[in-house]
Amino acid sequence: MAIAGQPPRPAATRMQRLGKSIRKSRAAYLLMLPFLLHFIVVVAYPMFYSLYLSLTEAKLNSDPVFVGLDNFVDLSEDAEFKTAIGNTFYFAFFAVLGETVLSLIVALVMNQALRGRIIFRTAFFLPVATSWVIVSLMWSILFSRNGIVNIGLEWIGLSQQPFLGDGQQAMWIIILMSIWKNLGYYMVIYLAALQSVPRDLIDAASLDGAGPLRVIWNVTIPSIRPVIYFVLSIATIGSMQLFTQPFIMTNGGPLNATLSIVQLLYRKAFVELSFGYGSAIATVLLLLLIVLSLLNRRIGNLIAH
Amino acid sequence: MRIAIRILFYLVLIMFAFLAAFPFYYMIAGSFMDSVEIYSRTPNLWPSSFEFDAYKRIFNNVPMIRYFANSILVSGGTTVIAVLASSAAGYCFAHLDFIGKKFWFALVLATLIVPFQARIIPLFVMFSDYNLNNTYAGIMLPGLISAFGVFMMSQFFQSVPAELREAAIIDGASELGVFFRIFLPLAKPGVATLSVFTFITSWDDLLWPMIIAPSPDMRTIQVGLAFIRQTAQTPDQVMAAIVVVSIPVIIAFLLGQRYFVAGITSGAVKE
Repeated sequence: MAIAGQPPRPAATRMQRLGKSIRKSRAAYLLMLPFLLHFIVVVAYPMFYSLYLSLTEAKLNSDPVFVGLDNFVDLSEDAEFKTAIGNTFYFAFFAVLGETVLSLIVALVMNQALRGRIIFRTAFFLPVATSWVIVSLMWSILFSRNGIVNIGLEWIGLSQQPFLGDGQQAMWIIILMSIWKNLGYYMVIYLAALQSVPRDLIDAASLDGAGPLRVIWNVTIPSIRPVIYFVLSIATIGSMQLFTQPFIMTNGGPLNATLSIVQLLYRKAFVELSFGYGSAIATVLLLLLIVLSLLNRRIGNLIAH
Repeated sequence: MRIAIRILFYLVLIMFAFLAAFPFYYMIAGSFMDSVEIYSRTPNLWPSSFEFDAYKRIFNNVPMIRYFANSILVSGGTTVIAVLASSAAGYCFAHLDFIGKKFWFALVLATLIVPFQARIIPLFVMFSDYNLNNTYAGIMLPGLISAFGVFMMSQFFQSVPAELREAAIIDGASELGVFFRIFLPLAKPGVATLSVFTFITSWDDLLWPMIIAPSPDMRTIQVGLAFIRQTAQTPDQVMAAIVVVSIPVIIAFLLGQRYFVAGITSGAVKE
């Protein structure tokens, strides 16, 4: 049926278009074949399989038995799980805050015309270039009971600290180390954004008599808002997946004080081999990340307007 | 700029740079110290002699070479395949109109926020069914092609003018020929960025290789290091291991810095 005012297209061109579109599609699907196969087999399918497993009781070498929401009911009563959630949020809050703010401060300073920027940047990049396993081992050595930090403390007349042997201190060492490692990474993102802030905007504000801090607060920061929001979101997503640091440094201890969600998932699924229960934890983590992303987007929109 | 502010800026930078670099310095110095020096009550920051005892012992006690070889194989293989497949898919999303394009692209974007942990258990179950435990394929498969890589390459190819493709098609090139002979060679900067990024991600991974390939001779360098304190009891050996593993990576990283920076910032610029 032809719509009024729009003459029907000649059949030949329509067929030609279809033929062209199929020819293009064939080439595209050929090029995308590896990606699509991989995507379906090891990304999409396992995601749904994980949701299914979370509704079952599944062990190694036995078929999963459907149990409805039992795993989630158990989770809501699991004191260890509550501890892990609490720890992960505690870690994420302070690590994200520290990473977002400190790396911005360093980037603002680095963005000035200073000598030796390459040397400073290289120094900030050392932790970025090193894996989480290695930095965790390094900090374990530095902050061990007889480590150099305790030796130094005693040498300058302060008392030695338990550090990784104390729950609260261990958590803060993990937080500080994570900020320390990620600082250079986020600094680079901020630096790229700062370089795109129009120079004349800053000059105009300075001419109007605004001091350097006012210029930063009223001109620079507003114009890199989307990037601050971007750093906030990726830092949040990364922090919620905390695993390697406590796994290497404290194994979740002392007394579960540094146990994270992913670490509990690891224990349940790969030490105790409860795949159903572990998948329920994975589902909760996924939901938390989706909620946090939506929340971040809301905050981002609020800031932007 | 006033002198006082300048000095303040330098002090801030020097403090942060010192904090960033000191642990690395201490690892190098400590790897040459014996236990007496490390635990002495006055802090020792310089070894009394430069002997490679700890290095000799760590190579004798721990199969470091094997761990290195495993990691190079896994990360190298992953990088080559990831870059080719991500480029091909990214090119399609950027320059071809095909049936189902919007659907697939939306799916790619949706999975960007799904954490790997949300599919790690089913992957382990599936891979165990197919006996992929303790194999290189088992370690490599989940991270082979990432949504991030496809997204990044599609962004990159969008900056290449579409007229190039049309002109080549008119000249009689096939669709596949256009990609392999014209677009892929033009994508060198994007390819370099994605390579560096993929290699580092794969090299640094701990959780998955530890789960799927725990047997001693299949351990990657990260898995090997995670368990190193079981065999290397003294801190000087652990520090020696850290130095040996870090130095080549840090050098490679500093050389490829430009591409790494491009990779980090590519996500942010778009927002």
